[in-house]
Amino acid sequence: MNTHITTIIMRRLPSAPLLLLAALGGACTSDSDDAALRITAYGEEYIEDRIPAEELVDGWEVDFSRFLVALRDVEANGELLPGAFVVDLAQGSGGEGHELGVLTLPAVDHPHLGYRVAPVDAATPVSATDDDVATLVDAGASIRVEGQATKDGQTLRFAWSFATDTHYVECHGAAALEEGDATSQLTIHADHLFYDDLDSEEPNVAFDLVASADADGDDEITAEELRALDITSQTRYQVGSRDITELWGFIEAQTATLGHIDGEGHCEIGS
Amino acid sequence: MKIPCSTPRPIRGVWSLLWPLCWLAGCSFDSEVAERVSARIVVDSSGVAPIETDLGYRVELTRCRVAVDTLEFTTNGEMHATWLRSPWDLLVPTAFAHPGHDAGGEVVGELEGRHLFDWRDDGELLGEAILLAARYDGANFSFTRARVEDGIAADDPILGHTFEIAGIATLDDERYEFSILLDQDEGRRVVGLPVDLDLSDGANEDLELGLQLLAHDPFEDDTLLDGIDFAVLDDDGDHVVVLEPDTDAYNLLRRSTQTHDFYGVTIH
Repeated sequence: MNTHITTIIMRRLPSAPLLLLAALGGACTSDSDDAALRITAYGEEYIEDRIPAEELVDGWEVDFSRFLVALRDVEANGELLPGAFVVDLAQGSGGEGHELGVLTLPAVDHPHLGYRVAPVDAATPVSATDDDVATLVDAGASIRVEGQATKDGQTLRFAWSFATDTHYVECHGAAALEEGDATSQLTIHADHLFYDDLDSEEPNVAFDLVASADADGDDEITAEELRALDITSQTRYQVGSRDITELWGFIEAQTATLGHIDGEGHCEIGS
Repeated sequence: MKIPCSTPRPIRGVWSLLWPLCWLAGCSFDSEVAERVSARIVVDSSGVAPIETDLGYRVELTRCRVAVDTLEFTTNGEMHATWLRSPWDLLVPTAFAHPGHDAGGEVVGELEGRHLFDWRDDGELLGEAILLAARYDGANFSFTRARVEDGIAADDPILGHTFEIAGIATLDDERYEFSILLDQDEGRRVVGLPVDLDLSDGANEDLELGLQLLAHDPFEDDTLLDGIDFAVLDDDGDHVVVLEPDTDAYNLLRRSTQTHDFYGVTIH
């Protein structure tokens, strides 16, 4: 019986938790000390360095020069981290992520976190500049990615802004507060932008179709060009029941799947 | 290749382990466990009617076999038996935020197992679903690939495929026989079939639900075979068309068959 399951039982069986905990071996604790939970945002090596060619099925390599994310409503166990933040995840953090702030929480259990990636009116820049904040605010965007993809000597540039509003909730953090101060990391998975399926459990990371959108051959792939690329007869790029017929809408839908917790930890989508 | 982010699957053994522990701990579910309903799930062929596609073809399906896996029933509201919600959640957790799991609803009923059937075989029994007392808003199912253990012969054309569809398409005076062996990714889910069923009060001894394929989507007014130009596909002029993988027509139909708009659940 792992702690995660125990946590679910505690949350879902309010009338029985103490008895159940006793049955599970006395996991209950009366420790009332507090611990500091440091919250960071991190784009992993895929954003800070690059998505290497071996990760894409078609041999493209993707390098982000700017990866702005607007974060707000960051909370852990219901404790809100005040303010909104714009983070440039392309800035190097040495694998540590970019600190958003610290919450003081009871030193028990693993925290459940939540955060929203959404447009903001104002925000504190974190490893970012005031210009970065203004870029998102002026565009009404929550995410802006700039970079390039290269393959066989060809380089294609892109600079896209998305206004997606995604509320990640019930993110089961790996931090062990009962052991003292800890860190929870809001992890952004950039490779999802180039997933070739909205539903598959095992999508490919691919860029060929995105590259083919460069209709005017100027080596810059624009949102308009992506909108013009019909995906309805593609073998991949399946969308399930969503009313998405072009590539921009497909990538935009993927932006609502970027958020994770502590690396590969999953969240639910809230309202 | 980075390990794909896959959604944790139901931990079906957990409850069998928890139950005796919970019993030792004094939990009591006895009266609430009774709050479940058995429903016969049958094929409803009423949606496999002749259609007219956006290109003007009148199409009649003469075969429409499919291989699917577990049919789930979901609620967005509160369950009557709140005690039951917890153990069921352990078995079937709420979907996580990930590709393919953005449709809401708590899974509180299901027809387990693999099912291979023809959507024209009206009334064919697929099995008995177990539904907890709740108001039901939706249903989901997964595609699979037909196997010999589904009860088919080793030379059955659907073996290894998800759909075997055949029919007649007619435009003006031209008549085309068409067929397709269509594959979906193993486990690809169709999420959010509309259901309007209130079982909040529990027992309903005669409940029967029909699983429909809707060749014509009444909401969008489109059809399963829109965009397929049979005359263009008839390269050799023999009026026999086979939709092959990796062609536009195949991919269009594959996409349509993933859309919940083309499925329904009827209450009998």
